[in-house]
Amino acid sequence: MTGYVIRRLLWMIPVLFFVAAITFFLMHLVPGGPWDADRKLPPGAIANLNRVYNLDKPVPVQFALYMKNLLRGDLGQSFRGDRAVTDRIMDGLPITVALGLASFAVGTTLGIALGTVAALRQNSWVDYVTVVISTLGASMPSFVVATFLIVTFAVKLHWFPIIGWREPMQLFTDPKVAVMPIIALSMRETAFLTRVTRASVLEVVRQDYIRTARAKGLMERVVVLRHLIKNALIPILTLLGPLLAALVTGSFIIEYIFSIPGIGRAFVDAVVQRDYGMIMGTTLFYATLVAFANLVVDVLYGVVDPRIRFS
Amino acid sequence: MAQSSAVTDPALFSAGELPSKQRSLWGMAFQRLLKNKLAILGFTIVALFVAAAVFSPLIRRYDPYRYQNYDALNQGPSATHWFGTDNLGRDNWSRVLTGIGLSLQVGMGVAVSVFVIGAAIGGLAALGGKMTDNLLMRFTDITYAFPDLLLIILVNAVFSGRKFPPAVLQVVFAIAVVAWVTVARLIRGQMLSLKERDYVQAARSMGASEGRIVFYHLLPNTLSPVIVAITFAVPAAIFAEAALSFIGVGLPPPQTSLGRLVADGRAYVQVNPSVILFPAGAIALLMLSFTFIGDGLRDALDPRTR
Repeated sequence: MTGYVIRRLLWMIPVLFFVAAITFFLMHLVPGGPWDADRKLPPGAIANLNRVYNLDKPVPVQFALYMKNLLRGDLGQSFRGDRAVTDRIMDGLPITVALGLASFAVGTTLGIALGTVAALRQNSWVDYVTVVISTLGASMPSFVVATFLIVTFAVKLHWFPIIGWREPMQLFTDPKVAVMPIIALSMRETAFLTRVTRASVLEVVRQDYIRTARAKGLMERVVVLRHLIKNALIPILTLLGPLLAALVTGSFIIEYIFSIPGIGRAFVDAVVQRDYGMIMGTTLFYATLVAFANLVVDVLYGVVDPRIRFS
Repeated sequence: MAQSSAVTDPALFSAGELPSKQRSLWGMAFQRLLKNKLAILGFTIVALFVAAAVFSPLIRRYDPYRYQNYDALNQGPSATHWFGTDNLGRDNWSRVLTGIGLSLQVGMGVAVSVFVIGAAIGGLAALGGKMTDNLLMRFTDITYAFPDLLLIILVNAVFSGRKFPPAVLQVVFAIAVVAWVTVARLIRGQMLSLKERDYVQAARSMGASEGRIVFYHLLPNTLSPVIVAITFAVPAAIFAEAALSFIGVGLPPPQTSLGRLVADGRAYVQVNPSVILFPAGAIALLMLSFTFIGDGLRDALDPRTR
């Protein structure tokens, strides 16, 4: 297994290199440059800025320089506010991670619980209601859910503020600001996991070992928790990594709606402002995250189900 | 199934109990699809939406861009304005209809492009020898490593401000660049296992050309999982376009994408919630219908996965 993990980690290097290369050349194809503004800069100033940031050199040369700095762990400068890209990513990271993890926790807990309950009471009204809601929820884009939440709970009922989540710790000190973003972001994951868990539990319920467990007189609680859930969760585990990655990378819409200063928002702003350093930094950061999430899941899969051999 | 018992029992067959008309695999799948109520509901809603989009010049009643009624700003639904008006007095019914048309164009466009790209890359990988296979699959892995929406935003930005291709195609292309991966992997896997089958060997030994084998024997038999994957690509594409337009980097104004309608309406939600409820509802309904269709097709084409 150590060999497997090492091989996968090594494979990440060329993948991330190509991600960097593709992003770099794509972003230089985007029309316009970082110095386009409402108030035009004098040509001399633009020439100077271009020289400082190496933008006067051919794109392949710029890429080589960028990669050289990247190998030293230097992601370069953001063109806005004259700060290091690493600093700006570190600014946004905590709140993006807080939003992503909180939504992940809510979605996973709710989804697995609802799916299990629905499956154990198959064809009861609980089951039907769960299936209908999860089917609806799975096809609702997060920004539509967010919009409905804002209309209902902020505009009509005044329960929660629309904006105000600026520090990750407000999750504990002032949870009101985080409720709607978290629900909106976790809705699709909850719905999706409910459906998958329900199907998986239904599959396991019919297995012989469950009947055996019941036949030898085990308490229902033990049968469900020890025998049923444990086995039903194996296929779900593989979904969790990509789901977490999707939550963290997909949060930019939620960050945009609720004015949360995370890195998702920073990426969108960077594309609009042609802030090359930030585009590269955030993309590489996200790609690394996705790669690690997938790796962790594949390894976990083998730990939970020893029948799987790594090759 | 009643049929299989008839097949295994010769007495029933000679007694004429077995339907004499032979059903093809596709015919049986179609029968199963017709029995799926949710899939039929999905097809009905999509058909209604398509009809509404096609005939929108006849039923939209107002021009979605140029008509403005300054005496009716931010109004709720009424007899004159079925879905109400926005902050500039434009008619929301006509704007939502136009938006549905755009969403459908993007969804269908992505479905077609994803199939073409996926079939080309997946097919080449499966049939083009070990080198090609390795190269194309590594390329697929790299595309897969990108966070989807971010790559879509970036590719779409490359097109921004250009006259050609038209804006809708720009968005279609940006989404397709990301979405083809699943289909390519599916087609490759299917073709790899199919090309060793006896019937393909038989065709080859009878002197069928390589092109005939690919297009008559291999491609059609990879289709059932591919059709399902492509159907699920449609709601994903509709979502991606709406999300892009929502944050203001998708279809450029004045195109009334549903995502943009929701975004524009957000500022006036306190005054007039209906201005976002209708386009948001249309997005949800479209995505839901295509998901129903995809579920139905999956159950019909591969009964084992039920």
